[in-house]
Amino acid sequence: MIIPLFRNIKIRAKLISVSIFLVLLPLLAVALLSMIRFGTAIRTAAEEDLEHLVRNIYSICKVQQEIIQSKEQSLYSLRSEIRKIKVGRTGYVYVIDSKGNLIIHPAREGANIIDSEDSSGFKYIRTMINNALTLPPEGVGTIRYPWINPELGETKPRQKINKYIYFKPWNWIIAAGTYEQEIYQALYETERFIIIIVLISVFMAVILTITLSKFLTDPIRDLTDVTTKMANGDLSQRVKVTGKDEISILGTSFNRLIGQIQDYTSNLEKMVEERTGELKESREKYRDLSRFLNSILDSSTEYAIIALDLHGNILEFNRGAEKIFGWKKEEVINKENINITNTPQDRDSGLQKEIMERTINEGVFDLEMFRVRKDGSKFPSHTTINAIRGSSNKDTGFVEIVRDITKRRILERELRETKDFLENIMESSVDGIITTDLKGKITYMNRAMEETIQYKREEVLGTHISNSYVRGIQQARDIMDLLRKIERAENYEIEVKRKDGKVLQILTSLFLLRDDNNELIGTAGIFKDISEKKLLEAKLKATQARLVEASKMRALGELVAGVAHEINNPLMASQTILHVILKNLTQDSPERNRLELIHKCNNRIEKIVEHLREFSRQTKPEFIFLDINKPVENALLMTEQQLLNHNIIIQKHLADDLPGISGDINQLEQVFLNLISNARDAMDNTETEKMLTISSYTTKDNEKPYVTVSFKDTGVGIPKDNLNKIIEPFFSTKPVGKGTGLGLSLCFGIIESHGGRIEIQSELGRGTEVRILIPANNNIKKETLKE
Amino acid sequence: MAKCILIVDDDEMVRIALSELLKPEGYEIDSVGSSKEALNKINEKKYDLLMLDIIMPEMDGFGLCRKIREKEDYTEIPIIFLTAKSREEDRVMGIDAGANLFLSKPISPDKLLGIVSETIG
Repeated sequence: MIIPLFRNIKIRAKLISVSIFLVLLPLLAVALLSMIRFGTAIRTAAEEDLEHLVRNIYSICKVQQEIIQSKEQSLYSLRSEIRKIKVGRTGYVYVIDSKGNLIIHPAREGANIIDSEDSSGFKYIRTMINNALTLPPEGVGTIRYPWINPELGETKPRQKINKYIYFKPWNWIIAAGTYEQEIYQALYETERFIIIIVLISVFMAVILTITLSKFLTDPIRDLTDVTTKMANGDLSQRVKVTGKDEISILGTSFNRLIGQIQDYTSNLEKMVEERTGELKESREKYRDLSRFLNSILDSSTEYAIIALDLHGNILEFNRGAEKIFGWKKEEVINKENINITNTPQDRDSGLQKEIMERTINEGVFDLEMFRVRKDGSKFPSHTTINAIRGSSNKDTGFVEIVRDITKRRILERELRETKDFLENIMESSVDGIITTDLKGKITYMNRAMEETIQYKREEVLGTHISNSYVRGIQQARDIMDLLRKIERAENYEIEVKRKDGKVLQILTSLFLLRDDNNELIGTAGIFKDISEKKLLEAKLKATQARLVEASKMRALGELVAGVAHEINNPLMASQTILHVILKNLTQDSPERNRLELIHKCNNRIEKIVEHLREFSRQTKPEFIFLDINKPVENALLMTEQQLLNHNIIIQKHLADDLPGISGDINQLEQVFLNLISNARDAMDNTETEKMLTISSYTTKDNEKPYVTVSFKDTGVGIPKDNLNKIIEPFFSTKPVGKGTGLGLSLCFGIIESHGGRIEIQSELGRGTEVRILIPANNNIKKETLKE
Repeated sequence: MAKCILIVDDDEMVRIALSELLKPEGYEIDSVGSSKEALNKINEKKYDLLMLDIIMPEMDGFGLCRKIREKEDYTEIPIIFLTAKSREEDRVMGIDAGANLFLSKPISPDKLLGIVSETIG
C-alpha cells in the first residue's frame, strides 16, 4: 500500500521525504542512542566518582585508624583534608554519624541534621542513615532528593545525589553529594547541543533537498511539460538543457529527437505538397505536350513521323510521311503495315520484325536503310525507331522517324571525291606540304616532304614541327609571330634538318588555317628544297666575284699600263741627259758620285716601271693543249743555275703520264718562275738544308680530273695571317726594292683564267707548299678562252 | 757630211734628251712634236734616219711611218720606232708599217747610240 502511494507522490516530495528519512532517522537514532548512552555513562561515571570518592575516604580512614591510635589526632588532619574535597562545582564531602550529627562538613559541622527534610518534605537524612547502617561492609549506597536553597534565591528544587559508605569503626557515614544537575550539566548541554545539531541538520537537509531537488525535478518537469505539449501537437518546444548530467544528456537527446520528428513531419508535409503540385503540373504538361506534338507532327514536312502499334500497323502518319512516302494519311492509317515502305528484299528477310524486336530491347534504334515510296521507287533513308512504353511499363507501340537522305548521300560522295581530289593534288605536288595544329604539332605531311626530310609521315605526325628546324623552337616562334602579323608569308627562307642530319636550305610559303568562323585552327606551309639552287647561287656569286675581280684587275692593269707609259718618257729623258752629263764629267769630279746616285735611282724607277708593265700586260693568253711538265721544265731551265748558286737542292718528281691541259705555255712558265723565285727567297736565310721539291701528278676534285704541280720549299714559311693577303697585288713581305708584291697576284690571275686554282700550305719555320691545280682537258682546242 | 736625224715625239723632254744625247756625237738633230710637222719637215729636208714615237695625237707613229714610206725618196731610209709600247703585236705592227727597228722605252743611252751608229754610221 505504501509503495503505490510512494510512487504517486511527486519526485520532489519523494526526494525530500527520502532525504529527511535518510538524514533524520539516522540522526535521531544516533542522537537518541548517544544521549542515552551518554547520559547513562555520565551518570554512571558521576556516581562511580562519588562512589570512589567515599570509598577512598573510607580507605583513608581505615588506614588512619590502623596507623593512629588516638581518634582525636587522626580526625583533625583528616577532617581538614575531607573538608577540602570538592565535588563538581557545588558538591562536597561530609561525614555524619548515626545520630545525625555532622562530623565533617564544610559549613555546618557539629549540627544535627537527622530530621532534615528535602524540598518535598522527605526526611532524607534519616533514610540515608538507616540505609547506611544496613549496608554490607564496604558497600556504597545512593540517595537522591530534591533540594532548594531559598537563601540563594532559588525558586525551584534541584535534584541532589549522595553516595555514602559506612565506616563502622568510627561510626562515620561518609557521604559525597552533588547536584545531579551538575553531573548532568554536561549531559544536558550535550543533549541540547545534539538536539540543536539535529534540528539544524534536518532543516538544512530539507532546504538542500528542496533546492537541490530542483536541479533534478526542474529538468524533469521541463521534460514532462514539453512532452505533454508535444503530445498535443506542438513540436516547436525544446527542453532547456543546462549541465552535463544524465538528465541533461537526456534533455539533449530529447531535443534532437523532437527535432528529427519535426523535420520528418515537415518533410512529409512538403513531399505531400510537392506531389500534389507535381501531379497538377504533369497533367498540364501532358496537355501542352500533346498539343505540341500534334503541331510538330503537322508541321514537320521533312521528317516522316509514323506511329505504329506492336505489330507494325500504322496508327499515325504525318504530313512529312505523306510527302516522303507518297501515301495519303487516309490510305494507310489503320489500314496498312509499315512494311509497305520497305523494299521487297527487306520484306522478305523479315527486317521489320527484327528492327521492332531490337527497338523493344534497347528502347531506340536507328539505321540507314533503303525505303520504298508508293510508286515503288527506292530512296536511301535515315530511320529512327523509338519504343513507346505505357504508364504500366508495358510496350504499347513504336514511333518511327524517317528522313530522305538522298541529297545527303550525294553531298557525301561529292565531298569524298573533292577530298580525294585535293589529297591527290597535295600528294602529287612536287613541293613539300605540311600542316600543323595550333600548337605546332604536325597534322599532315605529303609525299614530297617525306622525300625531302627523309621521314615517313607516320614518324612525324603529332610531333612538333620545330624538331626539323635547325633553329628549333625559336624558328617556330618567329614564324608564328610573323604569321600573326601578316597572315601569310611568302618566300621565307629557313634551314631544315634532314633525318640523316644534313642541313637543307628551304624556301617556304606559310599561311594560317582558319575554320568557317574565322577561328585559327592551325598552319600550313609549302616547302621547297633550294639547297641546290643556293649552292648554284653561291657558285654564281663566286664566279661573279671572280669576274669582278678580274675586271678590276684589268682596269687596274690598264691604269698601271697608262702610268708606266707616262713614266717612261720622262724617265728616258732623265737617263739620257744624265748619261750625257756623266760622259762630260771627269772621273774625279765631286759631282760624279751624286750623279751616279741619280742614275741608280733612275734604274730603280725603270725596274718598277718594268714590273708595273709586266703586271699590266694584257696579252691575250694563247691556250693550247700541252703537257704541264713543259713549262715546269722551262722554268727550271732558266733558274737551275741560280738555285744551285744559292745551295738549293732541287728534287723533281714529274709524272710521265699526265693528261694534257689547255693552257698558255708562256703564262704558265711565268707562274712557275714566280713560284720558284719565291721559294728561293724564302730559303735565303734558312739554316737547315735548302730543298725545293717539284712534283706533278693527277688528282680528282669533285669527280673531275685535275693536274697538279707542287712546289715545296724548306723556307721560313708564311704566317697564317698573311696567307690570305699574299694574293693581293702589292702585298709583299720582302724588303723594299727586292720585290714589288705583284708576282703572286699575277699568278692567281693566270691560273684562274686557266680554270684552275692555287692552294698554299705553310708552316712557320718548316716550309711552304704551293700547289697549282689545272683541270685536265681531253679536248684538243687551239682556241683562246674568252674571259 | 753630218748625218741628219729627225726625232718625232710629242713629249718635249724626250726630244731634248735625245738631242742632247745625239748632238755631241756629231749628228744633226731636228725634232718635231707631231706627225704633221714631221711630214712637213721631210719635204723640206732629206734625213738619214727617222726616230718615231708611236703614241701621238692625230696621226700615230704607225700612220706616219706608212706615210713616210709612200714617199719615193723615203722608201729605204731607216726608220726606228722608239716607244713606250712594248707588246709583241705592237712590234709586229711596227714592222708591218715599214719600220726597220722597234725599240722600247726606256732604253739605255749607250745602247741607243750603238744602234744609231750601226744604222747610219
